[in-house]
Amino acid sequence: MSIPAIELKNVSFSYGPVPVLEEAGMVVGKKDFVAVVGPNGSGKTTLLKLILGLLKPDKGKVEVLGLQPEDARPQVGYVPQFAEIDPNFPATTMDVVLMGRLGKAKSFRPFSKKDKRSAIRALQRVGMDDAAGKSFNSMSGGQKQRVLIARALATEPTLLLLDEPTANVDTASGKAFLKLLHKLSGDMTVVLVTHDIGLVSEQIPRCACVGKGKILLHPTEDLTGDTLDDLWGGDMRLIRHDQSCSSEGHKWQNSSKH
Amino acid sequence: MAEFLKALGDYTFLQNALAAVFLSAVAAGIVGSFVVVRRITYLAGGIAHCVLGGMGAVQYIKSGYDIPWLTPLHGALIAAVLAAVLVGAVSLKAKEREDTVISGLWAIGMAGGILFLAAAPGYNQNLMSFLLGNILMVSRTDLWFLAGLDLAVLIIVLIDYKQLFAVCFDEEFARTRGINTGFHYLLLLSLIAVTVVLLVTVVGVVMVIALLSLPAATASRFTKTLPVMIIVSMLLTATESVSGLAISYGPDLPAGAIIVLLAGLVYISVVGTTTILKGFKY
Repeated sequence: MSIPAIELKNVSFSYGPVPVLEEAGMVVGKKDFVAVVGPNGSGKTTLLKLILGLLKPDKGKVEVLGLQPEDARPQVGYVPQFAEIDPNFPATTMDVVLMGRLGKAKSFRPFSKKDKRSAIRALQRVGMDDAAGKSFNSMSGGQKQRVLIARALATEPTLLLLDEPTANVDTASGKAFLKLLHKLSGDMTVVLVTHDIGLVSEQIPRCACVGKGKILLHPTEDLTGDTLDDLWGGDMRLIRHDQSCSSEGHKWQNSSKH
Repeated sequence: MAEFLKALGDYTFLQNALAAVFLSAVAAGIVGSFVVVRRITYLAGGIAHCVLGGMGAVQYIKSGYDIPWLTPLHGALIAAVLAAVLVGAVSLKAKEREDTVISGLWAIGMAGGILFLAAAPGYNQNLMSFLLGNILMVSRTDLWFLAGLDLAVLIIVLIDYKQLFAVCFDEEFARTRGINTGFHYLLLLSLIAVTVVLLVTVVGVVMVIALLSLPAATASRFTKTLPVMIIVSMLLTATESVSGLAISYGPDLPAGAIIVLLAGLVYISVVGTTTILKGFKY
């Protein structure tokens, strides 16, 4: 049996007295494309940080590519939300992407030609190779997000983790972005955290629902109103728009109780 | 200006002052740019004000013991590095609020310095000289000390540029790439401490933060990469400092105050102009 890309065994984690995950488990196979969904504060980003080894579980075990998360980092590409990055930082696209070579490049020397070639290749994969010399600040949200993906790809990852990649981009950019991730998932495992369930239902084959301390991993098509009820703790309803009603296809909608 | 240029050829103390200005501009341009992009000017201000404690302590020791090689700049360096490590440790490990600790250090450093200076002879003269700077008193020995500090800053940043850049741009990502972000943050704070000592000679404890932030902030308005921002910031610091020195020489005004006012005026003018130009663009 091959080693899974991500394996969580009975993982518990809390911020002080507030439990986030309680004996949660999850297995993500190699070259899987998985969306992590759940309500705000359910622990989606915490899960990502546990996988990255930026947080340590109180109990249980996290394995990434069969290794401790810290040891697996050279094989993991991470894409944070670009909203967390200072929009006035003076950097070109190339400066940003080259950061992905840290850990692979020699520590106390400038980036080599090999690193620069690798960065250019990463930019080509996201369709941004003509923007290498441009200022990162001057880019649109969608372009910035692509550059951050290129930075993660420059690490030559076998596992790509993304935190809310479609949160600050328009619908068209979000869809184009998902297409890109779909393409990348042919070469590597892709796990993205998102609150956009509409997007998940359209393009991502598996989803990990995080809520009430648990993680439920299942095919996206099995996602039901009952599952969402259980996760969100409210009365959720699935509204399936037909294609003539909405170009965005299926959508989930929260129906409040009156 | 002609009077200043003539005096520059005649007097060693002015030549020393000019050399100190150029030496401090190199470190200020480099470290100031990191301070501005990392948004830690308040923290740098806290380190700068702690320096008075070290300078005062050395002055007090010198009043009781004859230690010819010991100068207030040595005390400044020790105090600045200690403050940097303390603030860094609190920021990285302790649960205490960082701004509260910085404010506390800021005030305690100043208070300690004033008490030490009060206990040593020449209280008023020394206090004013440390607070507002006295660039015309820089000795040849001081210059060698400053050159050594400058060289240390330059070498460290050249060697560690990639890591410092990554930690300032996106600390979390840098961690995922195996960078010891805590170490590099402490390294940056130590570089700030060294640069503070270089700048104290030019503008004094009170106004160090101006030269550590204003030229770099001005440069950031029209530069697109960090290396260019650093070079422009160095040139601005040097130009503003030399101009301030020249302007203050004739009417015998405090050079530090004139330098800071010039830096402030340039910053406001650039911010105003770039804002208006952007307004026209959109």
